[in-house]
Amino acid sequence: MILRTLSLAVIALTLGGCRGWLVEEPQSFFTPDDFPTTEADLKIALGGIDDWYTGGQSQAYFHRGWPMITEVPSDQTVAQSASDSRYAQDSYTLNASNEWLWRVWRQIYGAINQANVLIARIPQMDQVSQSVRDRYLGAVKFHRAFNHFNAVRVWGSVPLMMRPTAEFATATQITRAPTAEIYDSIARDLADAATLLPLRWPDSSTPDDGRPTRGAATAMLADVYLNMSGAIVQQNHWAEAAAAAKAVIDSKAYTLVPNFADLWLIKNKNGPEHIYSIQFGGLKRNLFTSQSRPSGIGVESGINYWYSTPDFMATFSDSDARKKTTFLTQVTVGTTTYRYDTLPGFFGDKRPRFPKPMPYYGKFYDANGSIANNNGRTDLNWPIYRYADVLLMFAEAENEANGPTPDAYGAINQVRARAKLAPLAGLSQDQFRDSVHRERSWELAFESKRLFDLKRWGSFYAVLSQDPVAKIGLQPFMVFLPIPQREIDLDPGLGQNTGW
Amino acid sequence: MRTIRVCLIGCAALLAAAGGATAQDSSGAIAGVVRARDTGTPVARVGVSVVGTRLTAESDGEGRYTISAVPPGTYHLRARLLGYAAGDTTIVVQVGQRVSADFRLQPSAIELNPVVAVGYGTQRKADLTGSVSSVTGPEIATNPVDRADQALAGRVPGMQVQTTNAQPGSELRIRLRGGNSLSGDNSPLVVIDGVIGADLSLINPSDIETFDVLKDASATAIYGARGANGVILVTTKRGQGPFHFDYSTYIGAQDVSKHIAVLNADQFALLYMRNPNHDKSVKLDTLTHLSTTDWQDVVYRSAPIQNHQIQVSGSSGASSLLLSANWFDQQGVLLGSDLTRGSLRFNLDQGLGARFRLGTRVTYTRTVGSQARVNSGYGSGGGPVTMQALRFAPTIPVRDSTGNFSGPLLPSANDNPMAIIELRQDNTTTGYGIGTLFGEYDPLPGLTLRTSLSYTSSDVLEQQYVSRKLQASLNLGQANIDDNTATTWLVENTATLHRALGRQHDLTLLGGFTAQQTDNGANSAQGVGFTSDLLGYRRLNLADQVTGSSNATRQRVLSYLGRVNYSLAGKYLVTGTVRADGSSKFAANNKWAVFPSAAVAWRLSDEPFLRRLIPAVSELKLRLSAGSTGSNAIPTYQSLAAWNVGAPYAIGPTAFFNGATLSRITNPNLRWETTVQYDAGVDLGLFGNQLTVTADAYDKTTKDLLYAKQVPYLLGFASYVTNIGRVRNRGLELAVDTRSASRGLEVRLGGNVSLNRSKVLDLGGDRQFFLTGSNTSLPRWENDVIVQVGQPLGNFYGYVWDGIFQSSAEAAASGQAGAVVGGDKLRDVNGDRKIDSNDQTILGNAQPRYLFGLTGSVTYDRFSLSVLVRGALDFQVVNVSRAGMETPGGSSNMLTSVLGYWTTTNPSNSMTALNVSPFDGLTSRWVEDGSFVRLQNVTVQWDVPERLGARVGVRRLRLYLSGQNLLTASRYSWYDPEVSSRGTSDLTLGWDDSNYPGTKTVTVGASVGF
Repeated sequence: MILRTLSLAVIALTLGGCRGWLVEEPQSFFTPDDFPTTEADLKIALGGIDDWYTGGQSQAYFHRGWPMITEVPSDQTVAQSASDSRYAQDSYTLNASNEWLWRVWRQIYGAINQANVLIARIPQMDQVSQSVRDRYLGAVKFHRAFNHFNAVRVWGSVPLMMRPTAEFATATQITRAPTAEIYDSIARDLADAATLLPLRWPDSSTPDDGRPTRGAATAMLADVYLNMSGAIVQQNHWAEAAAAAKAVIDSKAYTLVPNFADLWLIKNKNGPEHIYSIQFGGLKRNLFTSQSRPSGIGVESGINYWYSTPDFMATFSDSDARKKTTFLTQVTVGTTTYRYDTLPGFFGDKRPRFPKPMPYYGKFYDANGSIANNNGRTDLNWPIYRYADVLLMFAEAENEANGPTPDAYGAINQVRARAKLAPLAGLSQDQFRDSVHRERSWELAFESKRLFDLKRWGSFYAVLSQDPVAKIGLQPFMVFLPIPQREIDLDPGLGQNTGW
Repeated sequence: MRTIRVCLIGCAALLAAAGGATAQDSSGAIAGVVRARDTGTPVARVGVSVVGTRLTAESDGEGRYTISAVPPGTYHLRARLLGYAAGDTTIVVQVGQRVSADFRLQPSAIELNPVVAVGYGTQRKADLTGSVSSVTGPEIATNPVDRADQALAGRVPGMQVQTTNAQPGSELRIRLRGGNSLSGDNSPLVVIDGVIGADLSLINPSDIETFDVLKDASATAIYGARGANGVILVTTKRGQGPFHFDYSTYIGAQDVSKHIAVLNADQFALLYMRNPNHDKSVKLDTLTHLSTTDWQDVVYRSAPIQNHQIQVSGSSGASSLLLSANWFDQQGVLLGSDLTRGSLRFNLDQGLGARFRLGTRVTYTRTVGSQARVNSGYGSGGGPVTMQALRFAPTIPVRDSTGNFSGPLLPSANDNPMAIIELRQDNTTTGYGIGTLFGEYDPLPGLTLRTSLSYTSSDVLEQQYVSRKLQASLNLGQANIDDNTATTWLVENTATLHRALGRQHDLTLLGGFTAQQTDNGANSAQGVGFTSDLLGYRRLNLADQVTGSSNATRQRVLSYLGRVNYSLAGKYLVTGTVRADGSSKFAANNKWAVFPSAAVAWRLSDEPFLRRLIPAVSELKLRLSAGSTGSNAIPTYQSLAAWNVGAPYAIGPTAFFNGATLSRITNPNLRWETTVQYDAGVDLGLFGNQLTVTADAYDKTTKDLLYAKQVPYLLGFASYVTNIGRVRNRGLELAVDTRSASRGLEVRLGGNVSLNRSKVLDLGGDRQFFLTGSNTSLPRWENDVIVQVGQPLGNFYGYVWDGIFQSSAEAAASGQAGAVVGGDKLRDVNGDRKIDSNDQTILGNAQPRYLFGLTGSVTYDRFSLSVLVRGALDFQVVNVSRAGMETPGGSSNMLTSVLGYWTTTNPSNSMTALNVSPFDGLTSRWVEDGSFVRLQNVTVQWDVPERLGARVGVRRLRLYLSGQNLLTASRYSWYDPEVSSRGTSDLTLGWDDSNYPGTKTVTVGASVGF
């Protein structure tokens, strides 16, 4: 008996004394203490940031959410619906509870936080060589800048998050930073990224493979300077914008694809003209192809969320080689040919509110055969920057800084030559400026550029108040969308944009 | 009145004999044999006691007992054993006399059992200070249920047993006194033969001797951090009596409880063609009579159910052995669903010498089943079978002219329901084993040391294959293989000391220490893109894309426990318990927590003044208890920061599947949810316990609720789990039981009713939060569940439906976006002349206010009839299934009610106009009253007379006929009001979204003893 009680006591003491027995050691996931440690870890952490762009609920960012708040409200695109959250964006009748506001905001700040975590972690990673660390540091700084840039263009003054979130108690005290300060921070991040990043990643066969590169950082920097020089921030960085764009041109890493139509085929993605695109493939395929497809073309039908306008199509000259590719006016499926404006097989949406049939998007039509597979999704990438965009940015910035110089003409005429349009010559600065503006609207149609262009040119209200759908609810203060209501409810210190 | 036969042998003869045979003093003795009333077999281990004294004896293997040293006098003798009604008699003992008193005990269920299991021990029911209800095996033996806990429905006050999904092999929702937690699992802790956290669905129901349900803090605090939701203690059978061999079986048929009235082919064609906006590519003939496919008849069937059980049981000397083997097979009423289960058990108790006992409890169960797809939405997934069986157009035959399964009326993402059944495989194979070895040693009289070691292993393998011909796999063919394993080690060491100090004081002390470790593993593989369906999930390599993943977690619990039971004069009882639990799941700063409880009880019926005052009272005990218990039902590793790996991304042309995203940051203060419960109870017995009443009132508040507090997205996260929030449950329970017997006719009536109300007291500063109860295929139906401070859990939130717009002027003036004449009209609740989110309000609640059960049994000679009626009152259900079936003229089938659609000549106020869909969001139109009363069980039993049985060589034969769920009275319009498509959650309870229908079952059974 004594032996028995003794042995029980021993067991009790040993196990009781083993306090370490209750400490949790994860068996199947990483904690920030042990991840990332190697270069391979960094690769998957960077891939995880891409997941913020392509994943999320309801295809929140670069499938659906981003065009929803940046393309649909423009004068180039119209939402098919007349009564839901899409329509609210299109007609400027939305309020701060509109779902697309918080969906995009959530992805943006999720990506920023992950970038911040890596920015803090990378300098401590001793096992990784300096050159690799530099590359990845450049990449995550690019991502931090990219997302802040997206946020500041949509909402104006937004929270500037430069450190990873470590606790939640002070969440209710975070405030928004002034727009100029945000832009300065973005420009610094991009300048750093441009120094640290290579022109092309060592294991990559194309300059654009979805990872940030020097070209991407510099192209974005040019875009940032253009925005800072526009009607919103009202500083003068035209020369710096021109210099950045020129740096991309001089790097000779990119060329224009001779045939505009080829640019938009899945088999040609990540081609010589692409500088930075959001990658889709494997288990992550995009929905935007489906969204801008008509629903009346048999097995090739899409979900018909939005389309363009005949008025916009009419601004294209008939000799413009881009017109046929930019708009979908005719489709042959099997033995049937559908046309957007005539019977039989009429597919252009026509409603009492639109007197003329609406043409659809041609740019994202390619489905590598048929859209009927895979639930209407394709592998097409979403282009963020193309070489044509850089040429036009250079032309615009150079014009503003130095007037229409031969370099400026050279740039814009390259784009026009590809579009089989006559080159420009002998224009005044104002005329050149208008030409660049027009050229941008034709070259970069439906790529979520138009709305931001209008904002920075100061013609946001003037142009959109002529748009039959936008003018329904449009008011001048709507150049910035409202901060999502949920954020203000949880952090009253944010405050709301004027007017909303 | 119980019939007992008392045999008094001539006093004089005994007196003479006793003079030499018994002790030299003048006290007498009482002896006799205890037998079971129905079978006549001797019953062992019956406690026979002289009431009011400490004189007691236990019957042996032959049912014989002897109580010696009985002073002369008149006594009340009582024989008690778990599973039998107590036997009472009055005897007179003369000096030196040996009185004979035999007992014939009636097996019975709910009653004041002498001994109940209370967690780490047993206690006499008379001495209990906490709230415990018991249900014994024999009462539920004839219930054809596929899982043991299902048979508890309606039998325990305060316990809600809800079949949320009637598919064979599905989960069950059990709540004791309401749910406490917002995010954790609110199911009670199940302890089977001391194994904590065992799975009751994988145990052979016929192996169970008793269920003891511990409800209040005094009873559950001994389980510390896992006792907050109540505890169900399950004790399996031990070998008893001389060795015997029993075979029992039942066989029966189940049918769907209802047929929903939908349009036939002619009606459907008529409305479809009348609809001006119908898709012109489909033309239906409205002139000739079309043949109707009744899809419900196609997919539902009358399904067989059977069970076979062999049991060898017996005890001899110091050994008791029970061996059982069971085979259960249930086909589901929906084609493509079934469950087969086989289980084996080996229970051995062996005494080694006077002081040492060893025992083992080993069981292994294997199940194989198929599941049909239910409870999910339509959209790109092809739809669940239950929904397609109602919605698929009746004009379409099951197979088309080529012999393939017909497609839907219009090209869409809907699959033919028979195609889903035949072309989709979903098989689950489970292996579950529990092995326990324990030893008890009595070093001193009254001191018992016990140690037990148990090992539980569970393996669930789910294999699915969706054919290329189904939309559900996007016409690619998809296979999924998921394997989940769990192994648990549990070591428990306790020491129990029982001391009677003098004649008045009785003290029992318990101290113990336990350690437990659970390892979970998950492995899964998926293949998409098969070239043919031939090999299915058996050859994943055939797929274009194969991905796999694995996962592992471990959790550990260390505990110290102690209990004191003190009784003074058998009348004044005090119990105190304390348990300290340390769990690996909690954050570094809060690894340990302590859960105390205290209870007092007063056995008024043992007070002489009461016996004099109200002699009719045979039992009266008042109880009070208070204590705290905890819940650790949060996921493992919640307090640690984590990276998630597995996000797909692409670099150039290459796709990768191992992207890492940050999912959590550290919370170093995460701790238990604590529930503090107060209970006051009365146990009353009148007329020799012919009428017993048990009543309890309780109040339990749970604080430090684990709650995912919303944070602004700008931090990079949506929420973080922290301990804030409080929920309270308050209620009353009442159980009444009466027995009467006269001239061979025994009648028993019993009933229980309970009332519970939950209330959210605090959400850590938030006023409310929303969830979505409907499925993801109705994207506008978001935020239709509200959890709000001051309100109970399970509230539905939406617009109030006010009928139909009768004119376009009315629609235009309504302020409702999208209002049309003949469309749904919503109520402007706040009167601001527009319909927006401020007009949403609470539409109903899914938690029943009242639960009740009524049991009755009548026994005459060898026949008996027993009935169980149960019900739940005052709750609502959201009928999401109906919401998609009331669009007149739609391209999928609709309910017959659409025939009364609104027109100018038929200004209906309950059905929209042709081609007008109901409002796309939750409105009170879909909220229905779920209250029901159900004839749960009717059983007629016949014990075949022994002489007839002997002719075929059997010792005992019982035949019975039983019906389950034969009638349900309810205003609910769909199959069954108890369903909940979102599983067993308390927050999203009460959503009927294409759930599996309830069934009626009739079985015929026999139990043979050799």
